Amino acid sequence: MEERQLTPWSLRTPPLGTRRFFSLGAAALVASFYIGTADITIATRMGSIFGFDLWWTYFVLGLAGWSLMDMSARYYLRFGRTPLSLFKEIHPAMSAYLLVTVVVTTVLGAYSQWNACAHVLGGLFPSLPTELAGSLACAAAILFICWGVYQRIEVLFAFVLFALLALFAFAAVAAGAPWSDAPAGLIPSLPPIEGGDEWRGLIQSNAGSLINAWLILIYPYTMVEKGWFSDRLPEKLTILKRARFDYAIGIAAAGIVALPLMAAAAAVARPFGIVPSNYTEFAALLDPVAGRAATGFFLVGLFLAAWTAGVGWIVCGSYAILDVGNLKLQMRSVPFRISLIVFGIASAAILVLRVNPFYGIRIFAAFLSMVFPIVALALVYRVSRSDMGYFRWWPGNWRGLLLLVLDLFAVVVSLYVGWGITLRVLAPLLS
Amino acid sequence: MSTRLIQTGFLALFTLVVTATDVCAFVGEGEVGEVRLRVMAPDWICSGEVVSLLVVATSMETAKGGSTQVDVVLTPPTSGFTGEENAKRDQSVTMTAGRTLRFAFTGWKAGSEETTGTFALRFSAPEAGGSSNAPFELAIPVRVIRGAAVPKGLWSILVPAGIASLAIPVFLIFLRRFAQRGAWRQAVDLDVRVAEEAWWKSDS
Repeated sequence: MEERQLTPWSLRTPPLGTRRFFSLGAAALVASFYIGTADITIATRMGSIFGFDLWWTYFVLGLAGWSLMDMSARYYLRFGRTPLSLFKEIHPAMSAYLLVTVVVTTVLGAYSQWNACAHVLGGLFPSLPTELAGSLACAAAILFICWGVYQRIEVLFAFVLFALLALFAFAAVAAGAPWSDAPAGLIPSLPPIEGGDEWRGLIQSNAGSLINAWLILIYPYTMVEKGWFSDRLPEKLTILKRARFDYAIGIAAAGIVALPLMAAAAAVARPFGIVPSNYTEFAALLDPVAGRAATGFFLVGLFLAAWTAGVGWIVCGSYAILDVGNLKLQMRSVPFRISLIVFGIASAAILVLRVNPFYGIRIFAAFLSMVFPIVALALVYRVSRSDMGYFRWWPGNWRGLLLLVLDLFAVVVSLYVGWGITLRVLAPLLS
Repeated sequence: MSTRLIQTGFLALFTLVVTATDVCAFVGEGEVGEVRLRVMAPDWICSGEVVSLLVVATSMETAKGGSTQVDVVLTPPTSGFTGEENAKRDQSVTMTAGRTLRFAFTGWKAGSEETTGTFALRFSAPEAGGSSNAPFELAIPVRVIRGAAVPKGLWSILVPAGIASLAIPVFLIFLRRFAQRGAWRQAVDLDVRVAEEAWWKSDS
């Protein structure tokens, strides 16, 4: 039967078998975007000011990020088209908007990660200037991508994800973190008034980090690169099921990694009213309670998180640029490598500004949250159209209804956090 | 090949941990009466950033008497650091035998935007509970390096974004060179090379 004639979301998909379950998906790659310096900075700051009070934001905002990512996957599986085609279909102005957004945010995103790498290296090797250390991290990333192939990147990122969890958890356990307070942090609530207005900015930055502007579009690129596609509807649904599991893991990983960071900050900084303003300072705070090893583990974990996120930014930026030009989405292609080098040079050049990475990443994440409402509106507009066939909105059964509610939730969260909070923050300046 | 990659990753991590024995933090220790003081501070900081010092005070198990009062003073150099609103110069803690207390000095801003060099913060504990021991003094050298070239706030995102936007013309040239004319506004169907091992085919 034709896709269009079937009742949307009426087919049951078989459970994922062991082989499918363990077939390496892009979860680790997705996680690498979410667990970068933004995640670490925000979690550390949240922990040092509010303890675990804002842990729930990772999961509420993550759910919105999941829905937006799902919209792009549905569009790809329905039409066999790339995420940027969705914007091109709506209006060429959207394509131009995406080009500008992709270039600016990729350069800034990658720069933020090299900057954090530079500060870690500066903390470990004091004679290394920030600019040189950051450029070395950037050059290593480009060489790695050019030398590697897609599968290797996923394997490495999966390894790094586990290493990160272990490193941060070790640091937090050694610091004697107040773990029993953590479950209460999962209940959505606003922190006590003495925390001031800082929570608003932190939620906004966290949204920028988790919903990540146009990076929510990246999953289909990983599917194209690996050849995950089918013309048959049941197979499309199986792919979608596997993909959903994949990005759920990737996004949840951000919340899971945030826990030990919040815990460590709640143990070593909050009792003394210290709000760390750079990574080495936070690492040094771990020393008296967790020992020197914890300090080293934290810094190595931070370096890994920043470096893999930097790799993630320039890889996705290059995919998107190739997509703008309808070029073949392939890591091994010459245009991809040229694009990588341009992103690398542009991002490393900003290192001379020496903006404190701890501060810079929060500002950047807040900036991202102002960008993504446009992306969310475009996505929701496109997936709500009737030509989505079997993948269209359908309130007639529970699967369709749930999907519709999640899509609307994602767009409302994007608008509220992206523009609502921005307006509240800017209102005193404008009045 | 992936095993080799993981091995390389492990090797790189191991090298980093082994070669980086010092995390660039200053640690100084001393005793005042029967109280041991351990001071931790970053030993470098960007100008314009705030430095925090953490002090761990431990009263020895053998300490006699009910409690001991320890007064500690932080004296930043007049030229290198300026105190913010919450900056404290002196603190006093009361210790009982075997107890450990941690407290911090925060809010000391390193120099102005241009000041760089090495500045010594002086940490001292003149006496402890009338003890006749020599007072404890510690010089904490903090290297202040060049900080941000742009002020905090809106400029710290606008200037980097401005520099980042310079890459836009480069990518326009890139697209002109590699892409077909008008491709930027044409949605096309993909020619996906379906994976040889199509795991989704088996039980669909």
